[in-house]
Amino acid sequence: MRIVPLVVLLLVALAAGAARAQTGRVEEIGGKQVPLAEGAWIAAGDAAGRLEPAMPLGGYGIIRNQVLLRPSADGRGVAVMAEINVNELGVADGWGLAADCDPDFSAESGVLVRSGWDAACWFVATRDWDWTADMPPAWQQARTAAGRRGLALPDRTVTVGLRVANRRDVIDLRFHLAEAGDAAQREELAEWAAASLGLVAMGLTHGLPAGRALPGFDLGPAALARAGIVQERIVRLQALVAQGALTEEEARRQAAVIRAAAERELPWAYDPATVQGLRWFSMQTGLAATDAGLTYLWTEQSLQAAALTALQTGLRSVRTYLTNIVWTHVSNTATRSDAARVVDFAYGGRRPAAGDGQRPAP
Amino acid sequence: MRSQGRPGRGMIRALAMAALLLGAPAAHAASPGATVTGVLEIAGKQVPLPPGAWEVAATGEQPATAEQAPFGVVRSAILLLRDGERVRALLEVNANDIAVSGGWASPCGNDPLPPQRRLLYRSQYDAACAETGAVRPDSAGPPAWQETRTAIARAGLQLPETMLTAIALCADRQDFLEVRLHLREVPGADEAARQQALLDWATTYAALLDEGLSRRIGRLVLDWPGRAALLQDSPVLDRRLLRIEAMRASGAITPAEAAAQELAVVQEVPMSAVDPHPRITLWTQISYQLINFGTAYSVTRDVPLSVGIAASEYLAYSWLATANDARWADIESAVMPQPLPMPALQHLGTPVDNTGRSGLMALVP
Repeated sequence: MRIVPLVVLLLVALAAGAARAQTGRVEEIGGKQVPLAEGAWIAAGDAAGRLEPAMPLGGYGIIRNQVLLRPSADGRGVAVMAEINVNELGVADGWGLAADCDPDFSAESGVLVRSGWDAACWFVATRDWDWTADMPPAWQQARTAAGRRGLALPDRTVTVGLRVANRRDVIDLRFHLAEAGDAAQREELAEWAAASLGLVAMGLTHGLPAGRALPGFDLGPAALARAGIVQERIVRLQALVAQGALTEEEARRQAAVIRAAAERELPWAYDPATVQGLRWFSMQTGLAATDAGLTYLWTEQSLQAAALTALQTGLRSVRTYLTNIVWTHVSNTATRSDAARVVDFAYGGRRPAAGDGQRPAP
Repeated sequence: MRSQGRPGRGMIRALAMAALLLGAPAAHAASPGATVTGVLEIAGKQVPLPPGAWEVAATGEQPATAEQAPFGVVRSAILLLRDGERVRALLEVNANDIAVSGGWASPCGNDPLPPQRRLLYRSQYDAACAETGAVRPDSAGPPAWQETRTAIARAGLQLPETMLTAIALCADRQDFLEVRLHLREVPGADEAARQQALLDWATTYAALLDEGLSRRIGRLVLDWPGRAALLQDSPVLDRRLLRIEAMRASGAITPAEAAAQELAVVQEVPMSAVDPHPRITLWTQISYQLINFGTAYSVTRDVPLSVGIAASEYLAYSWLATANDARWADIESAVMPQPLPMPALQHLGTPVDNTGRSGLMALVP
């Protein structure tokens, strides 16, 4: 009977070990939390990165570029490579989307938030790797580290990328998977990315609970639903109930709102400037049509109606233009359009030359 | 704006560098009865505190409203600072508990902004602003204020009849943080100078809240309104410059890159979203009617006919604007994440104007 407690202890230890193995890790870089997918990661490269192409985005200090490797099960190769780019210092005027979130460059992609200062997008794409070519310093270090450990590096990967940015900071997190490729796997990765993006956004403002990693890549939809941002928020609601800050009924109501919002989440958001522009154009079109109809009713002369409509439309446009100039000078606040921009870094892999459902590299 | 070449700035920078090298101060959780200095932690965010040993008088949640959005609760804390037997200052903090995804709708209010409100920036998903006013610390206010009043009475502390208030608010796509500093007195020759000093301080403070939202408040030199300008006009800017200096010293960045980055830090300003197409305003309506009447008369040379055209177009425009707005509101909600309405917050006391009469002071609707 003495063996029973030992077996129980062994089982508990195994369970704890298994839990640790699934915990993954959160990298603290540039004052942000960057969560990694579950698994044992080896830090392989850490160097200054760079914007590609270079652009003036304010005083961010340096771009921190890190590379981590996750060995394959047999220990002979690299199963997944993680590539992180973050800014060291917060800036005043924001970052932008990754070009790879554009469907022209990726097999699967989604843009959940797009504006002049905020961005949240993901993509799944193929990347080719030329390990003999010139690479960013962090990747050179990773190449050396892999060689030293005898780990074979992949020539082609399926890459799942997550980009979140706000006015201050940016996180660009890419996982390059050596073994994935068919359409079904890409769709699974797309679902994984959509579920994980919110967690990376929480890391942007240092809001992740300690040890909160991204889910594993091979989780099914049901498990993903329990591992993503929606579940994270619902867990917090439950914590508020436990603290007595929220009633159970209110927590249930809020959880339902959170779930409903996630289901309504837009896979492809437009930026406010585009929508404002279209709204303005639709109003101007309506005004011109109204002018034409009413002036024709009053004058009963199509020539006069046409001349009046053209004059009114032209003068209103001039008026709007002049008003904007005056408004800009009177206002104390520096302004720019709420239109998203693209900001990229020097990455390790390259877009395939052609095919594979992606536009060739320019 | 940042002033250049101020005497003594090198010494201040050296002191700030020393403070920076000492590391970030410990952030204190908002638990009632605790005494905190430096930084207060609430709802996963950090709030920088003016100098002094602040007592956490009360913590709690804002009363839930029927339309409570999915942010859990709004956490509140009220801190007080003693000056002998008197209350020198009160600090009122509100922050959402659970992050949201699409930001907050007009957290700094809608145009036209009142003159005592200063906007740092505003876009679809974020905003920061500052405002000043005065408050009578009477019994009106949230439960946390009622607890604070009880604690003040129990300690036999004197509350002034009115207090000057600096408000700072910062909101991003996920969170918001609103802080009100109520002061017994502010240095200044007259009321206008005091309000100006308060607004300048609140503006600087709002920029610090921006860092507090992402828990990046380090060790910094924050002074009181009216005194801040004597020390430094932008602690955030100075800290960034010091960080670049530290990177250069450690070799993480070359001297040339450091020089370029320092220049970028000094030059950059937070930009606001421009609304290139002003909404229907009184000016729009009047100018449209003048244009329509003028053009109609220039073509028809008939005053009654021109008046008829302009008047009928005015009616049609009003209907068209309403229909266009409604249609585009639907489209916007279908193609962009929609911000949540800001929760209606209860604040301590009754706002008063300069003459002591009750007035409006509600940065958050």
